[in-house]
Amino acid sequence: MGVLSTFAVLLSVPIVTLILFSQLRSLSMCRFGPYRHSDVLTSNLPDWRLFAPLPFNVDHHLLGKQASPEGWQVVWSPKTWSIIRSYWNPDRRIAAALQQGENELVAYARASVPIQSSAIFAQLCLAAEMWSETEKPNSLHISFLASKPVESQIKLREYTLILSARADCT
Amino acid sequence: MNTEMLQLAMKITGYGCAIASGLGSAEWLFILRTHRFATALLLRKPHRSSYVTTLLWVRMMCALAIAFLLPSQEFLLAPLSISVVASIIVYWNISKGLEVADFFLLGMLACLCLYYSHIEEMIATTTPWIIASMAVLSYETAGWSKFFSPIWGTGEALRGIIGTTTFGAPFTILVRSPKISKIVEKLVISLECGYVTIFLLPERLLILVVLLWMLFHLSVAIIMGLNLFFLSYASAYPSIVLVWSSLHQ
Repeated sequence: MGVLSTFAVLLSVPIVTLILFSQLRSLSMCRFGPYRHSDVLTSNLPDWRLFAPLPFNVDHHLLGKQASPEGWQVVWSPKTWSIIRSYWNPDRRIAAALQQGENELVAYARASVPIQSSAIFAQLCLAAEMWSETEKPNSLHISFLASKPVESQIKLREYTLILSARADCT
Repeated sequence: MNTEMLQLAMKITGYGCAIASGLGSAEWLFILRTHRFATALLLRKPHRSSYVTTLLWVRMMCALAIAFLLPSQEFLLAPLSISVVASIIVYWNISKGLEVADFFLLGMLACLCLYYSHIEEMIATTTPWIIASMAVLSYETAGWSKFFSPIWGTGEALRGIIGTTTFGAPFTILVRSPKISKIVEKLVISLECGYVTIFLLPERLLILVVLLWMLFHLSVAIIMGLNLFFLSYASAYPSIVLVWSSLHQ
């Protein structure tokens, strides 16, 4: 029995156990709401309840605003469907990140904890700073917001602001 | 369990995982390179982006090595183990944007490590059972959470998902009809909740059901753009068929 084989087994067994445990944990959470995270350790485990109990029924857009009054600019927006998306779709990572960020902000708001202390707020601040450096080298005041359409009114209305994370990165 | 069938099943799984791992890494590299703000949004520590990028390159090279070494199976354990270690470190450094398919893929790679470690024959024959368990638990969790959801089954959930630009497609206009959407939702819920019964099916029906599931995953990839779901979940099917054949011997 080689060293590599032993290493592979020692590496694989905990991973497989952890994945099976996270699946069982998600299965036990089926009857409860989406924000039932009991502690820090288990809240970092993957949630296997695909598109449930609340389905992903919104589009998230990342908009930036410069200090100079140029209005809102689209930093990132979901791309419309094309056949390429079925085998090459890196943009869904940003969509997932914004969805997870929204969940985080909602959880903070529900717990009456200032959103400024959330990780997503700090991340948006830094994202704003980076975007500012890329797009307009001299502007620093950026606001970021994630928006989504009104629920149940599919593509009938334009986007409604539901949360905004102001990031003054001066 | 038939050794030849087991080898073939693991080989197919290996190819599926190699493609999924390579494609997943390439997508991450692309998104981190093209959108500068993405580093801040997606990574736990943005200043360590070059470190994550290097690991993603390693993971991609390992995927190529796995696909290349699978026919001979010599030295296969090295790229598999490196791929698992690189995936763990990458996932640890990613704060947001990971999806369930990434973790499923990690589990599959870990199972392949177990199989190709060749330590014990029992471990090798157990591997398809572990993969099948992961798949069954995954489908059952998705199904039962939809079953208890107040939205799923009303016709609103699929219409909502397909109505977005992120996951929608222009030719899915049929699903926007509340009645059709309700039927499709109930069908998805019953298929996912009853997934475990796949092992009780007769041979002909099993082939049909497996083909239906492949078609389902393919349609999800085409319509919703969830390509990794298709690749990683499809890689589990050889093991599911193998477990089925063991139960029906």
